Amino acid sequence: MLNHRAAHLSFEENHRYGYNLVLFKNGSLLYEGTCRLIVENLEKLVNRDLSPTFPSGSNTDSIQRSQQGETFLKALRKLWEDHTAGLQKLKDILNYMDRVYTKSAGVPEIWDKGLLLFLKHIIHPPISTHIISAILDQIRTERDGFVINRSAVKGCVEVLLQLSDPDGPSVYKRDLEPAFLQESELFYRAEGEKLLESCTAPEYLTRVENRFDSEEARTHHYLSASTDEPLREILKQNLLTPHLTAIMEMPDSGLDNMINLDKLDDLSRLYKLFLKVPEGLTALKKAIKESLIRRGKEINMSSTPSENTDPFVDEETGSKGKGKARARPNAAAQTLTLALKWVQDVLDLKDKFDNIWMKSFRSDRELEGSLNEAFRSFINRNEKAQEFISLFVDDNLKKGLKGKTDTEIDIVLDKTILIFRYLDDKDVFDSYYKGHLAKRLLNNRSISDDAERGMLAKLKMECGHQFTQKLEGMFKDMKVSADTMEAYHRHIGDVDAQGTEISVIVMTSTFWPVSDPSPSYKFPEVLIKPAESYKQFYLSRHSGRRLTWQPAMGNADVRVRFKNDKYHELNVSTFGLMVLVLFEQLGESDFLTYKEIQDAVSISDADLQRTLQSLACAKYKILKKHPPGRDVNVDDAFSFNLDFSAPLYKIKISTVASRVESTDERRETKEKVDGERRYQIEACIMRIMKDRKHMVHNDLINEVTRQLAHRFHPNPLDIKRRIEGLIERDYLERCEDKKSYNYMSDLSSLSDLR
Amino acid sequence: LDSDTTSTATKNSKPAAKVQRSADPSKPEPYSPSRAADLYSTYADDDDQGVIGPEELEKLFGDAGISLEGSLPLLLAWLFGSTEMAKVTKAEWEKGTAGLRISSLPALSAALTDLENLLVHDKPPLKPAQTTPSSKKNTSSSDPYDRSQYFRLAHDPKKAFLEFYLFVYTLSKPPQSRNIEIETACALWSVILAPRYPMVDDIISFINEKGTYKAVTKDLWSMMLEFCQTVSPNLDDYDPEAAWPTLLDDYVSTKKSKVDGAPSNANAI
Repeated sequence: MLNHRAAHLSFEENHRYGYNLVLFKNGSLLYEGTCRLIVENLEKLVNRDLSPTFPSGSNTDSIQRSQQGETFLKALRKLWEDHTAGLQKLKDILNYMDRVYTKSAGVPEIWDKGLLLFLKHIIHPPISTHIISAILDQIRTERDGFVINRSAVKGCVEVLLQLSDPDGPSVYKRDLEPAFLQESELFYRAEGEKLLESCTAPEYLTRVENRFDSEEARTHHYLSASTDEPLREILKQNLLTPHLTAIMEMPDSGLDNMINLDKLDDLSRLYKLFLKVPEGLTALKKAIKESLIRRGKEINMSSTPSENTDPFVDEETGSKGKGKARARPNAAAQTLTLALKWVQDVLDLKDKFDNIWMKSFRSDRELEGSLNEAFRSFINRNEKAQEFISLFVDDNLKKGLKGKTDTEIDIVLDKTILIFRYLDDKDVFDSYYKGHLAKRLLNNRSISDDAERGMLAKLKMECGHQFTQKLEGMFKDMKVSADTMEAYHRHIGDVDAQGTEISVIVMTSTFWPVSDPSPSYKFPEVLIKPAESYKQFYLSRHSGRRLTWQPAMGNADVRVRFKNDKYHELNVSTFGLMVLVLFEQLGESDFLTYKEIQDAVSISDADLQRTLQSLACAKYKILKKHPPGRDVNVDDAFSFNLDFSAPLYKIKISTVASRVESTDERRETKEKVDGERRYQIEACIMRIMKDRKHMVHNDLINEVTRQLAHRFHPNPLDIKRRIEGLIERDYLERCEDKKSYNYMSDLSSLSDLR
Repeated sequence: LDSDTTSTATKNSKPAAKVQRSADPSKPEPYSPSRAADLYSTYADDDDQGVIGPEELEKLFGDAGISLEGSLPLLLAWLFGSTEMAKVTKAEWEKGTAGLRISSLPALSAALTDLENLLVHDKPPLKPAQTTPSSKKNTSSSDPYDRSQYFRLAHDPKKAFLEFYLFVYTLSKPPQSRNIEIETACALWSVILAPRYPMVDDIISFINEKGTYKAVTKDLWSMMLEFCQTVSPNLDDYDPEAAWPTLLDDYVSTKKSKVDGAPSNANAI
């Protein structure tokens, strides 16, 4: 049977012999005899088939060695098959012995015994050493990129998996796996370092990914699935964990580079691999945050005009006359461009990172947090962020500039809101937005009411009703004013057809950003009449109200006659009109000094200078300045420019004023915002205390901070000052414990608190 | 502590002793309402007999050998329940002198000095002399005045001082104002707080250096005492996050930033 010549034997006969032997208590004779025969056969097979294939240790050529190994493994497998085939037959014949004798004698069944004998006589040094080194050799060969006969290895591994000491681990688990893992560890440690030196980051990642795949395939195909886990751990420990930062920081190919070039696949691979190790995500979060902040800082840097491009340096170096005159508007425009560019850059950066985040990082929540943190950090580091964003919105909502459709604008604004969300001090934005909105509304520059209201709705959604209340009030004023204007026209009918036609917008003083609540001005006759007429009409409808004219915010269309009865319709500021009217009755060569004009119109020097500049020093020179020059000085004189000509009939004389704030204006805005904040903090303290009646100091501070956080981050010291003020005015009292406050509810009037 | 080494105390008590000797070398005169009334009319305002005005009060203090600089005038106002600074009405005088059984300047001086020692200088209270309940009438003979109110206050000096401290604020506050001026407050603090809490002098010089503080609210006034009583002189246990008034926050942060720059034991008081 062991020699595979069982065909000549009768199964029934032999089975019966076996049966009889056991039946007549000769089981041990049969059992032991069989065992001896098996051993003899095994030894014969080893000597005949296996020994000649022993790999010679001296061979250094890897291919040859691998081939030798393969032959050896195949021989071993064949020996195994021989052995098990014979054993199977023996098992069938000796079925009765297995059932009866082995149980009572306490020995393994013949099949198991056969395997044990194989283990004992084959799997021992030097053969076992040969086996393991041959298998490892094969794997190494494959890892080095050569093709091996996987089934030969697989055959052997299967043998080793089936063999085990009674109740012990399989030979595979006991001998092969530890050796294999150790070998892998060494291999991959070296591999990691080698790759790191020779590869770019994307290459490295690809290689590592391939290694993961191939090792998985290996364990799957010809090793045991149980090896998969420890092997993967080795890969992680050697290829990833120690090299995370090194990979990301690789010059010219690391994380930054991948982001620069939008290498989504590489980034996705990086994310996937990094996620395998616990430190990976943390490292990636840190790196991506740093990268983003660095980019943000660059954007911030480029938005501040550097010292040497300061527009006012041009004054000295630039050519005289015309060149100079153009320099200033350019500078203002340049600052505006920088502001818009800043927002656009931030938007682009946001798009870029959002894209990467979605496509490569599978919208990972933790990474989103880091990205948001980074955006918040650098956006708020730009102290003009609020103004810039408001300018950007302004730019998009102004008509006739972009030629964008409503839908396009809506998309841009939606994105802008994303950035807006990162702002810490939203109240500062509010104050700028109000200013810009007022200009759009008053000058009728809004692209559409729908777009404005759309933006308002977005802001409302972000910050709540309170935030947009005043803005909504402005829209309402516009609407009511239009209605009132209509009623006014009906009221006066055609009576005043010859006079000056006026259009009045009544602005509720608390809604609109009015810099000077009671400005000084002297209207010319031509304005006094209609203004008074309207005022009477308005007050007759709304008694008890007070109307104050704000000429600084208005504009006028005026038809002006120049030489040869040429007419132009000029659109000027109300101040501009007031100045032009002064020249109406003058002769051709008459002058008015700055002083005379100032006396006549009685407006602030800053306003007058700006007005005169726009009339005499800008593109359209309606007035002549003596001496000519770019700046208006108090000792200048002016005359009407009768020779003025321009191709267009209608001309807009825009006031020279930069849309971006100057340093002084910034300070003013800041003071305004600070004042507003004081009210808000007080109101917030009172709201909380009215609700709670009694509160411990620190809780109150925290609650106020929390409630105001959507508008700005109040300084605890400021809150404390407000608390002190409220105690002083008896709205609060300090309790006995000196650490908490009571709400003084017996006060009926909180009228001075907004 | 018992040994009388504090210079202020000796300064205040010496002139008093002198007056006492000139009037009666052995013992102060016993109390009598008529003598108290006489004393009142001696000092009452010539134009308005119902009140002892500031000038007359100054004369009275001078005659009694009581320093105008220290806390004694304030203690007098407190004892007599005055409602206006440097003025004592007839009613206040009668009630005050009767309650304390005082009808002579030395007795008055003794009563005020006792209180100053107890409250402002934080000295151990006097022991009741021969407090045999039977000889209650006689106590007045050994004491220059009736000390029973003194002993009541001495039972809880901290509470007594708080009462006195808050009284001083009310007394000093102009009737139309919510606050007292910073200069007034500093002067008062240096008189009534500084003797017990030396760091008050430091706070006062901080206030003067900074020069931006205008007024002291009642809250700040009472928190100043709280600060003195609870915060250790080296300020280590001061919590800037706590409910302290901002003036004290400012003081401590200035102080600490100075100390950080200087050698560490600079403010060991």
